[in-house]
Amino acid sequence: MIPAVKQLLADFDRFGKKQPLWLQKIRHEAASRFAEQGFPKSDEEEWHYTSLEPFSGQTFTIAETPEKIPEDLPLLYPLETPNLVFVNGNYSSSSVGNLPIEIMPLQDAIEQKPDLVRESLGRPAQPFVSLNTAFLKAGVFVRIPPKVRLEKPIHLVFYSETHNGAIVSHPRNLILLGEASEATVIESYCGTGRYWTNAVSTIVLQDQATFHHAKLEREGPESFHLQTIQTRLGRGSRFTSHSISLGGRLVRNDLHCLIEEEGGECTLNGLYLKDGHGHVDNQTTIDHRKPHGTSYELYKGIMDGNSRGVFNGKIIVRPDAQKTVARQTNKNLLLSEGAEVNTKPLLEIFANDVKCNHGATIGRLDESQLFYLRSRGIEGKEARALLTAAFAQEIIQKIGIPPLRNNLSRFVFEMIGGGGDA
Amino acid sequence: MKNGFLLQIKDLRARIGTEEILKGINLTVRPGEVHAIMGPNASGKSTLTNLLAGREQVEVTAGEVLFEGENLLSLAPEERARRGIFLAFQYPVEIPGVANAYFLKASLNAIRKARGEEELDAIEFLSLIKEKMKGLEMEESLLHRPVNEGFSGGEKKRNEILQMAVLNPRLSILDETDSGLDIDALRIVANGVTRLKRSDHGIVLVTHYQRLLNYIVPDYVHVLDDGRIVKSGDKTLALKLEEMGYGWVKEGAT
Repeated sequence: MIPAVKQLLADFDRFGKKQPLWLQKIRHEAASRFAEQGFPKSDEEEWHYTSLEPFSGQTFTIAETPEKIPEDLPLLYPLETPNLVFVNGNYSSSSVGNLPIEIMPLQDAIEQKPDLVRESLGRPAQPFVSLNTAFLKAGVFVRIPPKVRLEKPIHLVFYSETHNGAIVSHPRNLILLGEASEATVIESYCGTGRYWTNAVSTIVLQDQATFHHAKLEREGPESFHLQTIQTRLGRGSRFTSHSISLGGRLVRNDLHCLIEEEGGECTLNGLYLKDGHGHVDNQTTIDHRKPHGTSYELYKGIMDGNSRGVFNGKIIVRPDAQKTVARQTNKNLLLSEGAEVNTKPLLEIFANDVKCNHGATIGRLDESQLFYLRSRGIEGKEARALLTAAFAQEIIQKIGIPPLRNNLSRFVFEMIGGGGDA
Repeated sequence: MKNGFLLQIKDLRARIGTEEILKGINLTVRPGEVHAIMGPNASGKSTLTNLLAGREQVEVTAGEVLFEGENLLSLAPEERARRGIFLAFQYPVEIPGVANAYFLKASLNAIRKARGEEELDAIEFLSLIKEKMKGLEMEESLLHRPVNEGFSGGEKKRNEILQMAVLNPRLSILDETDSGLDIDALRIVANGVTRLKRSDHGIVLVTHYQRLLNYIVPDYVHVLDDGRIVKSGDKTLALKLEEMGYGWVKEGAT
């Protein structure tokens, strides 16, 4: 057992003593399960290319909110629309105005909506979800009533800050969309110092609901970031996800989409950039269980330095899921000799009347394109940045939130070494 | 200009991989002159143009190239462009994700900056480019599309000439700009080039056929064959080639 497991549970006995007994019981079970499961091993298929060795020897503690929070959080989307802010895993502030929805910190939902919260917790199978449940305390509860269409994005911010010692936080979000409702949620993760974010978001779309989700991971360079997002799609519902991974030392995104009723549609877009010794791992599963479902998935990675990227995309089409259309693509750009990508698109098809395809590419910048730009006076470094940014644009331009799209576009261009505006 | 010459190529030899392609080229271009380089397929025309623009795949093994009296071969492609060399590509590449106008502005400002001129802002740039687009019969929408992506053959070539007009080079090298153009497109492109004729601007036209030279009249015509210039003359040489074919020059050369 990696030492971190025992150490992680050391805080458990003095955690959440004031919570209702039903929750304490669930948390206790989850803690026991995590103790049994331990950290995943590299011989497990889903963890084959992602070593958790960097966790060993680290001591993570549950932290308090620091007294002073920076006024300017490093956000790619401003705190102008309805938002809730969490610091070091604790609820900090909110500004939601008067919306025709239910939105509150999870701690309030535990008191006011115990049945919904309990139902959403289930019995997690994955160790890190168990661990999250064991330390369940803060996060967001959002419920959109049937037929309500929310114009502005809800912004959830998770900021971590530590100056000595490493801390861990376990954000837990529950997002429920009523029939034929529509909403957008942005989750921003950022911070500074040595910390670990172990987040879980559960999203449930009732029939005909539409949900847009953007995850912006811009954690500090010394941080660990793990998140599991579980989504269930009702009849004719539509789910769009943009998963953007820009920071962190070790980042792992698990995204599960369960199309459990007829005609569900999910679109998963992903962009990941890494350099130095960073590691980013995207695991997506789309489980088609009923007929006439569609899924479109495009993940793109840009790897520099000695970084490692992993993409593991699984599409399951169950016997009942006839007339499924599924398309999955993973494209990677390697900018250095030392960078590496392991990509594994996987189709498991048990129905016979379906249209599915998948593909993966790993390549370098095109020499002819580079020469063309340079022959027009654009310096080599700038030309490479332009072409790299162009590669990323395909994902960025799919984001339907203009301020976010523009900020991200600019930020990514700077990240890859592009100078100001041309 | 240090010696009155724009471009001097002296005994230039070059290879791609292990194959020697240029086997001793000599050529001198003065400001204001239009030179046509003609020759059969695989004679080394595109190798020469790519070499002049700085393509790494072409390796110079002997000889020298001076641009305005200075060694050109030690300069990076972008540095050559900044000094005023422009290559209109035979096959302009498509660059998805980079808008044509953005690219052209980045290019122009990089060159202006290197020349110590003020960079243009978006409004100044747009008015300049609209001015330069006149006469090329280009749809304005091409500015907002990714560079060359999905452009027709004629649109790509016009886009090259537009870049040439905007960047205002000292030496323009046009690599088979006439290939694949119908007669209307050829006229538009040729008129575009003719408008850029100036006393301080040298033009090298590389072409397989004589028809482009009906529109852009050259001062000199050179025939390239098997990596050497085997014959030079005035514009009548091109007409004779058209009539008699390249075999006539080859026989004459041996």
